[in-house]
Amino acid sequence: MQGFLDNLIRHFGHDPATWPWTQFVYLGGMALFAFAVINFAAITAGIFSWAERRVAARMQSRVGPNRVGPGGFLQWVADAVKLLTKEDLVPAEADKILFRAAPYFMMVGFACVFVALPFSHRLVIADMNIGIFFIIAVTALIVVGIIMSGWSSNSKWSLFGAIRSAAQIISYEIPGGIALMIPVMLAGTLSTQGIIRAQGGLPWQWFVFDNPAAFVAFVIYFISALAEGNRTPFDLPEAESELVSGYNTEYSGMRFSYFFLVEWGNMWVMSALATTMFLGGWQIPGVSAATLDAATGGTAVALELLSLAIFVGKTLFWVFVVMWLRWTLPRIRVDQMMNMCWKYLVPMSFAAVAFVAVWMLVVHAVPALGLVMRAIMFVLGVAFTVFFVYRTAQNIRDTGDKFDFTSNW
Amino acid sequence: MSFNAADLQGVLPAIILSVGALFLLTSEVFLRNVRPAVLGHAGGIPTSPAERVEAKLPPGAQGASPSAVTPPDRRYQAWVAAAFAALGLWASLAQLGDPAIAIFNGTAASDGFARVVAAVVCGSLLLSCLVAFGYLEALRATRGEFYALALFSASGMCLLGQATDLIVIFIALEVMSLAVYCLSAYLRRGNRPAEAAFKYFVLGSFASAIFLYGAALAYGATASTRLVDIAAALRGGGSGLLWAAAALLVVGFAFKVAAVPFHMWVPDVYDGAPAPVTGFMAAAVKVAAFATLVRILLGGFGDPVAALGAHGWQRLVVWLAGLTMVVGNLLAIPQRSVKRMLAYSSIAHAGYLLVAVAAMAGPLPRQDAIGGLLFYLASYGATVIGAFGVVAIIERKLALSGAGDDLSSWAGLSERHPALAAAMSLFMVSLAGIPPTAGFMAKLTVFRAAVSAELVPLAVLGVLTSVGGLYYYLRVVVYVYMMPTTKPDAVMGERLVAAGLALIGCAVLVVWMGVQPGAFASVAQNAVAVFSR
Amino acid sequence: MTESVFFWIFAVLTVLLAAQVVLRRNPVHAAVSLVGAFFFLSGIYLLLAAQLIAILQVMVYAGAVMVLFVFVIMLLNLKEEEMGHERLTAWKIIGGASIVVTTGLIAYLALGNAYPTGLLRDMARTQPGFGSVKGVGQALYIASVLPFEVTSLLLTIAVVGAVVVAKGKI
Repeated sequence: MQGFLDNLIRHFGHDPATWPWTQFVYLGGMALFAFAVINFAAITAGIFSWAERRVAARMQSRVGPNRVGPGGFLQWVADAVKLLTKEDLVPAEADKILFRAAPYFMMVGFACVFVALPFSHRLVIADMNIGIFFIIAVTALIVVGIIMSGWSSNSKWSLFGAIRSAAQIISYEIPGGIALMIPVMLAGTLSTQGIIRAQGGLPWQWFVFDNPAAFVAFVIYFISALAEGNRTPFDLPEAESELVSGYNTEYSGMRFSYFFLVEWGNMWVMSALATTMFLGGWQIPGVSAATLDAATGGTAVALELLSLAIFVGKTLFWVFVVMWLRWTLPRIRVDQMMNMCWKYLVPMSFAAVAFVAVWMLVVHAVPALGLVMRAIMFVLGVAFTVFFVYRTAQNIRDTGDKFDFTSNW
Repeated sequence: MSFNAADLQGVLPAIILSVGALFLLTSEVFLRNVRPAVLGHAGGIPTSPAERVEAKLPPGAQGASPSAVTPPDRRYQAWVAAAFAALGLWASLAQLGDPAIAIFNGTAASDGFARVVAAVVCGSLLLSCLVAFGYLEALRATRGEFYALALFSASGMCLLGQATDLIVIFIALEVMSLAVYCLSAYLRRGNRPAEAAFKYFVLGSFASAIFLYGAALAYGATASTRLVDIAAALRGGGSGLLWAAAALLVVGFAFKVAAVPFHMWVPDVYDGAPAPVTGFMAAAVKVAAFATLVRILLGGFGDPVAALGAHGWQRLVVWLAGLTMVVGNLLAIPQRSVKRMLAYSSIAHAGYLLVAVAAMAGPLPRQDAIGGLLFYLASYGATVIGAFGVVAIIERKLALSGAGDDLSSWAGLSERHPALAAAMSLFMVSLAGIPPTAGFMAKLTVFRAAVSAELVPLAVLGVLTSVGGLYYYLRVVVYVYMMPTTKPDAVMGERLVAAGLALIGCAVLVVWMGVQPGAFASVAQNAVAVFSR
Repeated sequence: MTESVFFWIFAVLTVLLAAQVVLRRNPVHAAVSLVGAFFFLSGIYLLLAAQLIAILQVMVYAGAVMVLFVFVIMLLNLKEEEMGHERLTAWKIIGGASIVVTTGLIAYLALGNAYPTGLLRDMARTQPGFGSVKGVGQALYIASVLPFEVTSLLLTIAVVGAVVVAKGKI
């Protein structure tokens, strides 16, 4: 975004290198972008809270919130107002400073991620050369917030939730992080935009279909992201039936809502990251990144909006998958959760990295093999999807159910 | 800047030792608990739930008490470890004559000094493994981790001997120390080993932190961690920051070599750790620490200005040496536990070794001082491993009978076990520095170097404190030979093949080095060429 | 100008929080202060043009290591009375004084007569790719390959040692 601000300064007839106010313009720009990003994160999370309840209701043959606004869409605004006006309680025996500070740690860790997440071809706050590492790093702050909140509440439910959460997130950070290194290896860069540029617009140009190990890495990443985001089937830290509500049991009002803001917002983060790393990001089918760079005027705006739509579309699809999983799968036990991470995902992710390293050498020697592999992987993916849709349709037909997206709004 | 086979060849001893450690660790995976063979499988005690079902035992039946299952035979481990140590010894001796080269982009060196250090370390490890064999077997404490950690720490020591970069020195130091901390915590029967290990760990980490601070300051002053660059920066005129760095580096190693006033941990750690580990610590850790100290002081701060000038390190080392000799010997006198006595004596010996380090500051007799230091380290290593080997044999009797370590348990050893008594007396005589043993020749060379470096007062102090040391060393001999047996303890029940081998080896070395020092001195001379300008 | 303003903010906060780590009696407060200190320290790395190190600092220390610290502290969960009360002893006064003297001495030596000003910063500016992933990778795998490999030895020992120490009585 520095380039954008430099252009702005030049537009007003100053040289950004010598103009004394440049630094202040930068600071102002930073504040503005930060404000925009936090609002985007908060509003998306709010909308997801509504969407999740509607999706859940649909899956359980209920109606869900449908009173406030069209289709209940404004429910989240009503909730936000309610939470803002609620009393902010601090338990008497709590560690007051940490109790108050914990939600902000989570918010900071969550909002910082958006700095490096791309939205479209040009729309990214900062395309850092260490983008992925930055995202992994700042996400770690969320854990600190969780365990601070759990410990400072001075309640056993909170503490249990926090301990579970810390163990879970630290464990799943390892396979998740290693799985993310596979697109990094394939693209040869840590920059999020660079990784998207290394892919293409068409599905067989995506990293997920590059080779079997990359596909495995995508699955590992997705599972780990679910676990790191405390989503079902890994929602042990806030398991309602055992821990009341986990680490946020003692919170109320706005501080309570921060926890949920982060949880729902995290769905965007994990989906956007999956889109970026494995699913071609904002790449438009048939339009290369170079064409996008070269476009000017109205075409540029149109293409930019198209790339934005593609990115958001893919991301929202995965957000939906996350919700879908939550209302489909039961919660797993702690030991199962740990087993799965350390005995399966971690070794698998190591093996995948080793495979990709070898595979890259092979493809470097025989480029045709890479194309064949992509084709096979894509065909297999399509076949699986077709099979899945067929089986689902068959199930619906057999049970006498019907597709109904029109009623109950 | 590419991969170079000579680099790997340069660190061959360290590689051999690491491979040995990994081999031992891996071999543990394939061990199975042995069931009582007499009963056969049908009558044997099922251990796994599946077998329990097979044998139609009710789940509550406590057939599978752990003591009924014989632990796997792990006796091969000591011999494997000893074999790898011997291999490392061979590798370092085989390379002895090769020209000195810088390896890994100058972060390490493969030279005569490093090879001699590696040889002494591997030799100490070899002897210690043999001593440990019977000790651990008698206490039923043989585990693969023990020898693996010993091999790992020895590999760190070999690397320390050849490191010429402060980062490599720090990491190798940690490799050595971490493994030795764990070794000293290995037997945890009672509170003393835990206390010892904890003290060692905390104070050792503290020392590492001080060393690291010194390294950081050196980097801040010269923008490099290579010792050669530091030396180059010194030639261009030292800075206050560099003096502070030198002082902190010396203090960091003063902890490791147990120089007064940084010696507080030694008695407790030497006392609490298993005796074979103590012997290994006293011999090998000292070798590695002194080797690194010499490497840093001569390689990095060897410039006469840095060594002898107003801010030079010689003054610091002289004070350390004097204090260490006096305090170590004085504190050893009242000790009644032989292990604690040997611990304080190890402090005193660190003082004599520091005399050699102080003598290196001068430009002229540097060769004598370095050669003397290496000779001293080798002879002290052989002696102290032997001494602790005897202690190990006595100690495990005591540990099994639950008695404390006291001089009285040594009374009349000559009647019960004349060979052990003779060996112990030989080692005590050598530690005291009486001819014709190695200890005498070692002290002689070191004090001679000190005199020619115009450190006459220090040499005199060394001789005086050595005389004081006679008292507590010879007291052990007196107890062994002249006191009547208080406890009619039977001769050691088991055969001491491995420990016997080790003790014979130590004794032969001690006498040989005392009678024929020339053979070893020439090897040491080979090593010192590195630091001659 | 902005750079030095940020430097002073980061530096002061790092030192303050680092002091809190030692001075706080409540271990959780100390641990959280350490997280903060790590965080601001990474800010200083950023100012030194070492982005990768800055991020690794946050990722490894503030993220993983500190979480494990806090985890252990929470499991121990010391009560107020177990922590004891603050007492001013002669040793503390001596220790405090020696800290002040040592720090002052080193600062005097460092800033006073002999510190080659801007040496490290110039290095950052003149070396292409300094602090980038590529630069760090080359430094790590080519220039410092020996310490890097020995570190893996160190970690192996740490794992084996932890198992040895944590195992039942031998």
